[in-house]
Parts: sequence; C-alpha cells; structure tokens
Amino acid sequence: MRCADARAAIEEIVDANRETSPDPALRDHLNSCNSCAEYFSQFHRIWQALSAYPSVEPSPNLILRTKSRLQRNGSRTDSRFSWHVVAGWQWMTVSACIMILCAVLFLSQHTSPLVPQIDTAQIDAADDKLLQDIEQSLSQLEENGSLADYDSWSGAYLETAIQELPQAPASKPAQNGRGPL
Amino acid sequence: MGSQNSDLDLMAAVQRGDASAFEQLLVKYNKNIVNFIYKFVNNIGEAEELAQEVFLKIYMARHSYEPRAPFSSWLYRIAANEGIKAAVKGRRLFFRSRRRDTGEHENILESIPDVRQNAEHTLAGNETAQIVQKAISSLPKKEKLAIVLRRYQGLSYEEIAEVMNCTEGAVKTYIHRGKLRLREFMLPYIAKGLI
Repeated sequence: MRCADARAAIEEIVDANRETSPDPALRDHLNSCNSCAEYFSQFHRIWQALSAYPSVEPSPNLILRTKSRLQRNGSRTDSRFSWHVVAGWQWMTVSACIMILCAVLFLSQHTSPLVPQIDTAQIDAADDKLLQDIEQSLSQLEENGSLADYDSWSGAYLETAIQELPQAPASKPAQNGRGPL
Repeated sequence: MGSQNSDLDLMAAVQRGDASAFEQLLVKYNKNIVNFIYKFVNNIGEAEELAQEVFLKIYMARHSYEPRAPFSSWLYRIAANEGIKAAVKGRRLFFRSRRRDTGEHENILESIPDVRQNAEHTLAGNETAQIVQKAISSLPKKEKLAIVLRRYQGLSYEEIAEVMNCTEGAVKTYIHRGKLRLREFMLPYIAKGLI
C-alpha cells in the first residue's frame, strides 16, 4: 500500500472514531511505515482531543424564555404570516397589475403640459360669434345700399387692376408643329 | 432514522398548530443548538440569545418546511447562519475597537498572543480545552462548520451536505482540510505532550 492511500484511509478511520483499521493491508503498512504510523497517531490524538472543547449548560429558564418569546412574536405575526403563506407571489402580481392600470388611467386623463390643450367648444363659440357679426354687418350694409357699392367697387377695382397688367407677348408656334413641351 | 421520523411527525403536528409538539422539539435540541452556536461566538449569553432567534425563525417558517430533508439539517442550517453571522460581526467590532484604541491599523492577528511560541507556559484553567478552543476558532468558516457538525453534532456527510448546501465530496474535502489545519496548529502541543 502506498503512503498516500494509507493516509487517506487513516483519515477515514479517525473520522469513524476507530482505534485500529479493519483493513489488514493498512495494518501491515502502519506496522512497517513509521511516518504513516506517526501520522495516524497524531490524527487520532487530535480527533480525541477535540472532545475537550468546553461544553456549556444553557440557563435553566432558557426554554421558558424562548417559549414566551415565541408566544409574543408568534401571535403578533401569525395572521400576517398565514396570509403571506397563502397569497405569496399571487398578491404581489395582482397588486402590480392594479398599480399599472391606475397609472395608465391617470396618464390618459391628464395630458402632458407640453401638448397645448385645445378647447374646441370655445373655438366653436367664437366662430359662431364671428359669423353672427359678419351676417349682421352684411345685413346692415344691405339695408343702407352699401353692399351694392361694395360689390361694384370690388368689380371696378378688379377691372382696373387687370387693365394695368403688362401685356404678355404672343407665343410663337413651334417649328415642328408641336407645342413648347 | 427513528429520531428523524419523530422529528418529522412533530413538525407535522406543529404545522397543524400543535404548540406542545414544538415544545418537544425545543427541549430536544435546545442544548445542542446552544453548544453549536457557542463554538462560533464563544460567549454563552450570546449563544443563548442566538439559539432563541433560531427557534423563533423555525417557528415562524414552520409552514414552509417540507420534509425532503431531515428536520435537524434545516435546524442546523439556520443555526449555522446565525452563528457565522454573529462571529463575523463580533470580529468586525473587535477589530474596529482595537483600531480605535491603538490609533493605528496594526495587524490585529499579530497582537493575539500565540501560546505556541511558549508551549511550556502554564495556562489558566484546562489547557487542553483552551488549545482546542483556539484551534477550532482558527479554522476558516466552512472547514470549521464541517468539522463541528461532524465531530460535535454527529451529523452524517449527507446531513452536513444538506446543511452546507454542497455535495458530500465537498464536505469530505472541508473536513480533510480542517483536520490538516488542526494538525498543523496542534503539532507543537503534541510534541510537548500537552495533547
């Protein structure tokens, strides 16, 4: 048996709190190899020495104190705890969906301040007022005969404007008989 | 196995609302848990407080317990978390107060007297117990946890793997490394015949 294999086996023996090895090959090796025999002795003594770690005795009233603390904390959070256990992630998902829905509704009702609000009702009212004023003015003009003058004035103005326009030169016919295009 | 079955039966009763069943578990494991946590914090008052926390957490989470693993594995996992957290917190407070007292960032490990330098010095109280306590405290937390669960709580490799949330092979490795460190720490004392 090689020393590396022997040492691995030694650790298992020590771990199992055995004094000797059931493996005859390992026993033979320990009898013949001083180094491994020393290794086994050291590990055995160390593992046994660990029992010397001081053991403590809990206070006599520790269990009572623990029970009273359990009663204090258990009753306060029991209902919440069972609710949490039952609902779990389902409630969180439902809550998240409700919050998203509320956010969407809120945003849809309140437009962004960058987009100007157009009050169509007010514009319609203003248009109606303007039309009424125009109608009223026209009816007044019609009553006092000014409308005919206005109409004739605009017609005379247009005739004068047309006469004053520079005369456009007459277009030459195309040599190939086709038009300019 | 018989003990595990009784633990499962008791937990099932606790889940049904039987408070006396939980009291039975409390009586059964109270001392074990206090001693287990004591190996991390080395203070019996703190170990008792943390043991209360452990049982409180067990009780509050009783409905989420599923009997896939032994009850003791679940119990020790919670106890290990509490013990390790307290040990880390205690170490931080110790280093902080030392830094405040000395006013310099000295290497605190160098200031802890190393009894190995003078193995013939007579130690107050049980020398072997102090040596063993110091040796166990010097282990890294995973090796320490594996060694303590195996050597002091008597858990199997499978149960330790459940507690530590690792494979049995990893548990064996932690225990192997822990033993090598213990041997390295204790060799001077073995040579002097103190162990």
